Amino acid sequence: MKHLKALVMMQLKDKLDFSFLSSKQRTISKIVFTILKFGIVTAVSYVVFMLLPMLLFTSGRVPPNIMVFIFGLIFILSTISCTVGLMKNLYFADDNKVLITFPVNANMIFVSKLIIYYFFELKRSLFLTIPIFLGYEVFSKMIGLHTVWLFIAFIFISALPVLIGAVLSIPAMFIYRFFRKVPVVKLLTYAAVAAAAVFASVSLISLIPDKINLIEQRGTIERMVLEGLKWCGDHVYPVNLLVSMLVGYPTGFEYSILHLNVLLYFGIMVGIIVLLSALVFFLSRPLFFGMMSKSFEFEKKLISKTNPNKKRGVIATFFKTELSSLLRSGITATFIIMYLAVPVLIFLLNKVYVAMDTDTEGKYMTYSFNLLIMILPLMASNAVIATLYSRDGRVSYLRKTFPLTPLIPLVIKVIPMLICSAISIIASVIVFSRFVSLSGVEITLLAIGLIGMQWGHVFFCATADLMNPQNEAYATTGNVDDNPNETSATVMAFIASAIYAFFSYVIIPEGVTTACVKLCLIGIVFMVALIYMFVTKIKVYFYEK
Amino acid sequence: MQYLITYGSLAILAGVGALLFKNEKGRNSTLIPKVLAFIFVAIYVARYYFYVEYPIDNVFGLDQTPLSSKFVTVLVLLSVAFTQVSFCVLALAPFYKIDFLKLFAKYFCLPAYILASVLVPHTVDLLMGPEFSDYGFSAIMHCIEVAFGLFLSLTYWLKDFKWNKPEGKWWLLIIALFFMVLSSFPSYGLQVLFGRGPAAFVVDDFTSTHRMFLYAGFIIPVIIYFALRERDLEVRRFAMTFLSITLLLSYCTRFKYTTFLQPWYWPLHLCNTAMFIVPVCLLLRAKKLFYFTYFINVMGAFLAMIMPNYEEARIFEWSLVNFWVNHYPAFFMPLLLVALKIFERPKIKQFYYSMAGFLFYFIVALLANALFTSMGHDVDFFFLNSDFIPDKFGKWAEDLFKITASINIAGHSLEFHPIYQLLFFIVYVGIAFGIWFVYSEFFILADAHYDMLVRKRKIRLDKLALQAKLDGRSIEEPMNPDAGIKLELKNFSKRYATSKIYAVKNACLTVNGGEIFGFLGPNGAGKSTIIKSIVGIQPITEGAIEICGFDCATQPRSAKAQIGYVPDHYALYEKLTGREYINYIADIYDVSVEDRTARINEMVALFELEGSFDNSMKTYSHGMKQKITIMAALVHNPKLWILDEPLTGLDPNSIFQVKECMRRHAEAGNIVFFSSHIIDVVERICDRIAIIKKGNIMCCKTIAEVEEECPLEEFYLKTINDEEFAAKVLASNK
Amino acid sequence: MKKSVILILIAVYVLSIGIVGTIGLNVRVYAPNIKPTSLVITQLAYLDKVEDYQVGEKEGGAQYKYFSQIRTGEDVLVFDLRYNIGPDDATDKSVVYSFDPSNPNITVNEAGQLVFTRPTSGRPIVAATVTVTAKANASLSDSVYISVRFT
Repeated sequence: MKHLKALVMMQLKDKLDFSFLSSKQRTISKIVFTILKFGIVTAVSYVVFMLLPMLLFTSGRVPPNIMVFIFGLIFILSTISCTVGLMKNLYFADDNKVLITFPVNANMIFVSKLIIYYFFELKRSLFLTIPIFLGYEVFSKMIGLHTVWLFIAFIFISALPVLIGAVLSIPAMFIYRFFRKVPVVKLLTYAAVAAAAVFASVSLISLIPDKINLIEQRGTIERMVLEGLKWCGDHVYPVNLLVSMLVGYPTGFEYSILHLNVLLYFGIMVGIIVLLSALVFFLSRPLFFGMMSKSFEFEKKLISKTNPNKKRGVIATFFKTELSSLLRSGITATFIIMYLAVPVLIFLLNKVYVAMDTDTEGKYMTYSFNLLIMILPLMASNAVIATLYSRDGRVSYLRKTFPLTPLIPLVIKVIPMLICSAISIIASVIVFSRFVSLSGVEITLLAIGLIGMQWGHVFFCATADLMNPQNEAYATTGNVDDNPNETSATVMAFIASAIYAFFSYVIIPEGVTTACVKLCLIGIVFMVALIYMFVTKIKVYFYEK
Repeated sequence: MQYLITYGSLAILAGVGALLFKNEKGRNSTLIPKVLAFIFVAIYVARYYFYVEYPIDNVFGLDQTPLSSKFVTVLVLLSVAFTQVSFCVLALAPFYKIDFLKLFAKYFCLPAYILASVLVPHTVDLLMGPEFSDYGFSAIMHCIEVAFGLFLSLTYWLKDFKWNKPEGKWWLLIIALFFMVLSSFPSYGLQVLFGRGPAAFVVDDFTSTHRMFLYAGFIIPVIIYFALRERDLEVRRFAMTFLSITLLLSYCTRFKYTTFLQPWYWPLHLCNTAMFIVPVCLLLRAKKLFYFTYFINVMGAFLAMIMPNYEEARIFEWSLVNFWVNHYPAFFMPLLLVALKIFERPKIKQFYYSMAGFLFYFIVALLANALFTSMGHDVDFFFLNSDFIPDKFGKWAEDLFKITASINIAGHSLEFHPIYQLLFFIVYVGIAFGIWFVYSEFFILADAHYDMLVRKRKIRLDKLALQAKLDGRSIEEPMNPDAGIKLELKNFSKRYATSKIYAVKNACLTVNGGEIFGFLGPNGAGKSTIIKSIVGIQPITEGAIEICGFDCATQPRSAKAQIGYVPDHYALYEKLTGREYINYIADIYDVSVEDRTARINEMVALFELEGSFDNSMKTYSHGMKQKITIMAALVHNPKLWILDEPLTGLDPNSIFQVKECMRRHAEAGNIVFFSSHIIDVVERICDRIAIIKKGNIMCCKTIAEVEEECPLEEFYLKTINDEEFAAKVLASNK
Repeated sequence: MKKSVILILIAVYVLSIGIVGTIGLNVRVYAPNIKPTSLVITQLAYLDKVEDYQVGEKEGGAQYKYFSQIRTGEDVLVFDLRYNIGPDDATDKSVVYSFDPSNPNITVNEAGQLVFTRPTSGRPIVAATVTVTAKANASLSDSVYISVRFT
């Protein structure tokens, strides 16, 4: 147990910041903020449940099926996250090579990894799922025993995604290895998934009715939502059981915890946990040991064919290297998905808007929201750019030794994102112009403005990474969970896109052309300012950081 | 008659001046100019405030001028602005040690007052009306003021009767003068020149004109900041004092002494107080009072600019101009004063003081509102006594305002709106706290920008110095063309960012071509610091590093082209293959295809990487990755090959191969600079060694010289651990 | 991208539809349904004549409306039974006639007029109490006795 505790604490301290424990003031401050965070999520949840009867449920009651839907969604997402995470952490983590050398029972290492995941799952339950349930309970006046039971039950429930993930990680691992061995299959699979996503989007879009009036059609919408919730409740039976266990068994108009069925469900859940634990112990654990001791040289093939040496110009060589590096990394997927998704989202959004009979203010709002949706997802995905240079680890230091202007490799690294995001924006604007009558000039101006904002933000993220490099952290662990540059990039994305959209709402009444001109100018100024900052900071600070 | 008074007064003052400045002591006295300045201010105040109604209030356009000609009207207005500028300069000059002010007094103030003296009758007619008596108190004071101004300007000529050509960029002075005149232009001036203004330009309710005014409120302080931030503190302080006083004087044109006899007309609105507080803080350096205006006035002024409460909103209206003359400085002056570092960035203590001040002001405003309202006057200081603000927020706010409470004191019924007023106070304090955070962020940005500018300037100066040193030669040529293949450290010192401790102090070293140079030292001694400074990963703090005649700091690209670097931790693009990576490095160093193919083939054979060279480096072992790093450092055949702990983790065969590489590279006439902890290898392979300890190079000797005394290992351990021995070694090194 | 960021993006997307859908739509004028509150039979028009009603008294004192007996040589007499229905802005002012359904000689034509036809046998008198009821307010009605002698 002592070894297990040491292993768990070591891995936890690597992932979390416990420095606040060193100071009493900081500890108290941390506790206060934690309670505050919990309270805020509960309050928001309560307000949402309070608004639902006003906006949607005419009966005044919020059906408990909604908790099945919400909890089911969270549970599924958690399970997927645990599956992917455990697959990487159990079988492919770098620290396995170090952990296996420790004088501990190998089972301890395995269990310690699961405990870490359980801990994070419990943390997420505490700050997301439990407050949502608590909000529902406060709204439904079920405070008291229900609340205590909630906390107790989640101690057990949090183990479920981890154990399911550990079991599912086995086939996931084989599939992952297969993809790595046969990249063609991986490409085909991704293409199939992309095609399915496009097909699903098109089908969804075709379901949009010709006329939408959320207020007049409230009854229809309510009926559809209730039917959907009922379907959820009927088809996601295990989740239904769990929610029933948490919320209580219906006795008349109330839900009671002190019921035999609740105990029965609890017993079933514990049984499932035990069963899963056994599965994990007998299936995942042996695989874990097998994978731990394998080196990565199993992938090496002796290649007899030698490729010729080619000479390229400096810019061409950087471009090729950075592009190869980017495509072979895992972060490209985020960008590609977002660049493809945004025009589709715009199309869907405008299909809905066209079906609504909007007044003048409503039309202005649709313009602004279109701009917001065009720019916000792209900017939010730029947060990865705030880690781009640091992800190279110690290679970044080597860049400083090259006999050339540092600007070249640094800019080349972000060029693929610049080009692809510009294409995405142009596509979005063209899609948008199909629904509102924009002239060619207006389309061009709007696209330039949005591209300016997007590119400006890209350079902002790049600057943030340059000025606050995290090379050592990435060199050691390969990933940093709480990168401050990523956080500041995300915050800037939300603020900049919100201000831009709000500004468009204020100036659109002056006329679409005037507004497009002003938005274009703002975008250009934003981009030029941030590129200037980027270039100047490289010149002035690059070698110091 | 006015001319008689003016020139007569001048004659009397000249006589007084002759007495005061007759001797050297009088001429050099610093007290006399200050006393004269105070007298000047007294005359100005007396002239300014002791007047009856100024009919210029009702002049809308040049067509309505009481003067005979429009041209003279314009001239008079300009003269008023010039004399306003001159008054401020002459009153402030004795208190500031700025040479520019003396020139200004001589070349601007004198002509301005000469013009004013010529235009005295017209000025009196325009400002006070033609019906006004020539013997009226204000008219007489005006004549005396002009005479005094002339007199003071002449005293500057008396002290320095020379034609001084302004140094530096004279056109900057012209621009500064233009803005000084602009800030001093009387607020009724635009109304007199242009009338009320076109009906289309209404400055209210977020019309485009209103928005322009709001944007100007942000642009003007930015311009002032950039214009002043590089100047001396004295110049900055003067400029801001001048600006605050001229704007205050402009604002106060509507007030007369009778205003101050009627407290309900006092300028007690929050933004009005700012007009008075800022000059007082600047003149008396009152910090605690300043932070009140910093935290409280700025926000209030901003809100007022967004929701202006004037009745007539036409663009040139005197009341409108006065509104903006009041609110612009109330908004940006406190921020500018902190941005320009005239006052420090505030801390929590200053915030508390300002909140205490705000509480005091709030209570005064509440009581004044209640008392004067009970006396039948329509008073609304700080909008606490009317529904101007609740009206903007809707019915709920109006309902809150309607809740009243009354107290009877000495026959006066004082009415308050407790809920509204309490909420107002709490919200305002909350906003002040929040806005402090916003200010801090902006100041951090401004400071960072300024720091960047200073560094950029230094880089530019370094470039110019380099060009001077090269003396017409190309920047691609070595600074020292006769150096040959040599590494030279000249008094190199390195200090990290904010640390006061030097990681390396005064390191001097010369390594010639053909040498394998060993660099020894314990962990943290400064070995990696020196190496990283040579290869360009870190900048140099002091001293210089030259590689084959190229200076590392000023010719970094050329210096780096001479280096091949093997770091202590290999740093590779692991997703590339070995071949791709080596070709990538070769492209950067512009190695021809033939050369790189020959070298790659040779090294691949030497390091036995044939089977895996075209595999992804992610599959390589530690030793293979280290070999690729060595290959990358040699593919361009560098003149200086630096290896930082290269043998760590290598098997014996690989170690042998690396040593062979080093020997061959040195034999070809190049430098091999080699840092290691393994004394045996250093002893066997190196020609010379240096030992570094706590940032100081203790010695630089050949192996033979060291081993004359004792084996290298013993020598090293003694140098590191024995202080006495180390001192002896260091002394012999010097 | 972090999960929280994805959730916020989804929330923004949903809100962008929700906000426009709730406060950005054209307002429809709501026309209230005003029920009729009064119905009074006033006149009987036929051919080129217009008759006003009379008020009679039955046994027991109850009053009733009637039109004086109409004599006509025509075989078919079309009556336009006029009535006042209020208020003026009542949404639906349409009415329904009801009378003894067993009387074959009284019908209502497509234009909403009462049609009295000469009996083929028996006495040449057609008479009935006709009740006019407001369609939008079934409790609102007025009755009148109409008698026609076919000569």
